[in-house]
Amino acid sequence: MSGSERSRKTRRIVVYSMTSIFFSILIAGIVYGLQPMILPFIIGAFLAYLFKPLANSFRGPAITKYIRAGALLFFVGSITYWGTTFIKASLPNEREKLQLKVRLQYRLNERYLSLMNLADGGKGNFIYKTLGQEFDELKKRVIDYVKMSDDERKRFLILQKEISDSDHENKKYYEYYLANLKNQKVDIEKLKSLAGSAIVAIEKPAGDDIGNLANIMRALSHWIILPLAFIFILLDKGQIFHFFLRLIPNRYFELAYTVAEKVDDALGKYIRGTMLECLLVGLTLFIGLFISGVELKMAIIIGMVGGLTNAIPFVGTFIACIMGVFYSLIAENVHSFLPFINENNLMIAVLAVVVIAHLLDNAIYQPLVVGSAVNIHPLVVILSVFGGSLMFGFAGMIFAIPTIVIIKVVTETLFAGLKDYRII
Amino acid sequence: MKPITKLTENEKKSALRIFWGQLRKVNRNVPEQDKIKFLKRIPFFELLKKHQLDEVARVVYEREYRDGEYIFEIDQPGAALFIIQSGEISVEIPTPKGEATQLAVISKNAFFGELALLDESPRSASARAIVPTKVLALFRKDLDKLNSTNPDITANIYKSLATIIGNRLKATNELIERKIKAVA
Repeated sequence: MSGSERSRKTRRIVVYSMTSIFFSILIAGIVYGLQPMILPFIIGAFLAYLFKPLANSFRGPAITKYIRAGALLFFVGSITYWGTTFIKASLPNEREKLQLKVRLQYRLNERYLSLMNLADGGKGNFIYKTLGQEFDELKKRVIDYVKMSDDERKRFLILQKEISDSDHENKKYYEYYLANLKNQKVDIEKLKSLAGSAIVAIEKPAGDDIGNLANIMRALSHWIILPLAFIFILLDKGQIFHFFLRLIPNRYFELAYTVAEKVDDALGKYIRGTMLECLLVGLTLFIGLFISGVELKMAIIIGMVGGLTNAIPFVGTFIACIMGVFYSLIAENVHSFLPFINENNLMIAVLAVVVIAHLLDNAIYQPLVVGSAVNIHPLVVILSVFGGSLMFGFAGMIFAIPTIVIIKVVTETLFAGLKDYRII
Repeated sequence: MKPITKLTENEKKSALRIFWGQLRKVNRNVPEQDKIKFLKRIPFFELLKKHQLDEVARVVYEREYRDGEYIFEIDQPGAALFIIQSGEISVEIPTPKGEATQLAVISKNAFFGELALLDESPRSASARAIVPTKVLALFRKDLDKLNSTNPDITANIYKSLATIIGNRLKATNELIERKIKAVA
């Protein structure tokens, strides 16, 4: 190597190092300064990545990329809006929450008495005679857990007073309430008098609304980045990838492309496969529960939650099971499509639906839609999701699985590639 | 006021073609147009129409190599075809003594590593820049993707590839025949 070439090489190293340091500092500064925008950006990019194959599949002379991106944004936006509105509407308000507690306590007690043959003066069945003491203790603990506090009781009575006499559906909870108190041997008259005492609602200061509006506007200004990221990444025809690949030295050019392609392929297959699997499990749960007699709104909620959480092995099944059992405990007036399912055996039907959904997932959905995708041990998935949520909260939970897939595929492909290209 | 004349179907099609063509031109930047002009001269893409070349230009990568720098080495997995935009490339194989035997020197508008468009089989020779060289790289994976969205483009590329490989096979057969006759 001649002297001029050596000095050129030195200059090149210095320029590259200085540029790298400058851009590293700049990027770190930007990331730190724009922290609130990172999550919306990542979600927008993630959605674009997810829907890119769908956008590419809609082709035709009249369908430009702008129409495709706009239509998909509208579709994703509508689904998100519908989903959040539905979930918001499904969440119980204060009165419904208290009624739910009353109903749960009442139903639990009723179910226990009927299960142990203690209702209508019964002396208990064989199970009760053998293990009655232990079961009584367990029931007491559960009831203690769901029963209302004194403040909640006062609030419940006030809210019940606001209900008109013709509203029999809501009025019945007062009967349940009295029955619960009777079971707990509480002085009813004393409690009734409590309801009369005024509970002063905490008045919000006038400035609060303006403060809230400012907060909403600030949040909106951050989240506006989401549709922008979605549109621009969906419209991108490989320019971003070209840009980053241009930065790779010639020696690693083919290798870098191969690794990036393999990661993209594996990540895409895993995420899209898992999403489709979740959708199928959610649909199975919804249809099964609805046919069994679970009311429509509740069947949708259990299907949605069970389906979404199914991305974490076993968690989806477990959550759907808990929610279904909880619902079957408080279910009233069950109208099932199957004549043999009633209020008393709804719990068995719900458990059967959850088991069927789980079996279908393992036997058909997973092999069919996620079969060729990268294989990650369930324990690793669970640990990464919990670890992600501990470290970065909600965002960490969402992006834990994609991160694990990227790390696994990059490690595997990179080392194999480095050997194939005789770099190591 | 002029009377409004109705356009025939062919006139309508031509007008639309001109309209979309103009729009495409507006979208394209100068380097991209240069790339398209260059690709048009390559036998590999001679069967492609202008708008098809536009799609190909989007998936090729420009790289610059210094004198003596390897584009790829023998036995490395093949992932891309390279087309020389400027400069010269030496195609060579190493000898057991560690030296390199030059098989050919190729220059502007020539291409090499085309078998990588078919599979990942290892490179049969090394390619080294002997002067500062600019190349365009077309990856097999990008061609596969293009195949799912624009199969008419890839059909033409594969047709050209088949012709080129067929011609080379013929030439090799003739060479072997000549050598056998010479030995006999």
